[in-house]
Amino acid sequence: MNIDWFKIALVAFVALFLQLFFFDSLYLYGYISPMVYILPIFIVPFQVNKSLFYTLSFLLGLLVDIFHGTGGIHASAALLITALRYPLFTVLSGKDITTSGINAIYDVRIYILALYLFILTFIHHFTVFYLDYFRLNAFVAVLKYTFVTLFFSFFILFLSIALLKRNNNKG
Amino acid sequence: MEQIISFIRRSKYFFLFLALQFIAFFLIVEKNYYHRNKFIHSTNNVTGFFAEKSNKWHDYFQLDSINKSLMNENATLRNDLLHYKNTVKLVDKNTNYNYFPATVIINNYLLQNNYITIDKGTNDGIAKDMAVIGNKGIVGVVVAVSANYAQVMSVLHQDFRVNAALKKNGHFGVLRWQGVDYNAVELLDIPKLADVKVNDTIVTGGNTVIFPKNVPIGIVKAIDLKPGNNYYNIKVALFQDMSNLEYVYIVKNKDKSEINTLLKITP
Repeated sequence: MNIDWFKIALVAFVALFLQLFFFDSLYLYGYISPMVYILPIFIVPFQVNKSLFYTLSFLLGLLVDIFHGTGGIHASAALLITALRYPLFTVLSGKDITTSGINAIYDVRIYILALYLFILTFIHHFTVFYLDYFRLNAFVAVLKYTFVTLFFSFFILFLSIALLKRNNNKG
Repeated sequence: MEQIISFIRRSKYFFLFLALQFIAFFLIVEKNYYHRNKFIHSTNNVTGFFAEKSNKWHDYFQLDSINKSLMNENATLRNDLLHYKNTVKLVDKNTNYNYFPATVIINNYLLQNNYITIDKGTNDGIAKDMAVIGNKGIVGVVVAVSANYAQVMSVLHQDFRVNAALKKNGHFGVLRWQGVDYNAVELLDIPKLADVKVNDTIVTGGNTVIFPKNVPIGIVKAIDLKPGNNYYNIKVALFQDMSNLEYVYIVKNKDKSEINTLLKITP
């Protein structure tokens, strides 16, 4: 039951680096920048001390905020999905997260993993765009941005987790 | 009492969650005044350094299009020069302005309150409230400066206002951005009696000490006049492509302090 902190830190670093220096200046079709820095939030085992994990997620989001100049939008969204992943995972997988081992995320079926990833990424993106617009009448524009960005983010995140899963099951 | 303590103990993570969310919301609200906030700021030297590095890398792949836009600008400038050489100008109104070139290192345009970071600061003679223009039109106003970087409030910011006029007849109004579409801004307060048509050119007006007069802004896309209203609401498409800013000019008005002193004296 050893948590591989080195691997998590490496994934976090790579995700953040790619986010800030590659995806942020990508602007696919003129306006899409996938948000992939949330990757480490999915792979941290459920057994990790919650207070520590909440704080780390918050700081991860805050770091992105500092580079984007967006106040606390990413910090808030990252923290929200960090808190929501516990109940969501329990509901989707039907497993008890306290007894399911440290690799619970890699042990579920692929479509459950995809659904879990999709819902949390949607919540994250929607929160980010909504907090930025901060108006009720921009609902349609927010949904549009959320879905087009989500399409690319989800694709990248899912591939990364699938790769990590293969790597994990081998090792 | 014991129950309360056990309740707090059971929901301690929830309280931590609330506390952190509270901090995040505080930062979001504070963001609107954040040019006062030194910590979360991209003129901050650390983030500025990284952004500059990343921008250099990004620029390299755009050399081709940057070259083309600079060549086009050169051609336009040469044409203008020729024009000015041929027409004798007794009074040149624009000699009060100094132009400094700068590179954009962070360009936001998809947010609802966008700021641009440029690589010139107080060391290069940049100060607050200087105008920033691109090769095709206006870009924004400097709102914060550090030693080597400056933060520019983009045209695409909900608080941005500039005095703008119709080029052909000089009727002026206020230009602002309503959000959502990064290419469309609004021109308000043009009186009903003014002659406005679609495709008319909009330039900066003379009623501002920040921008020089007659800097291009955009083209009229749609004209709206609500019944019973005396002023048009005009949709303007910007000339400057805000999504593709690489080089900008910072404009310093040499007489600005003199004008401001004068304005303070007269009640």
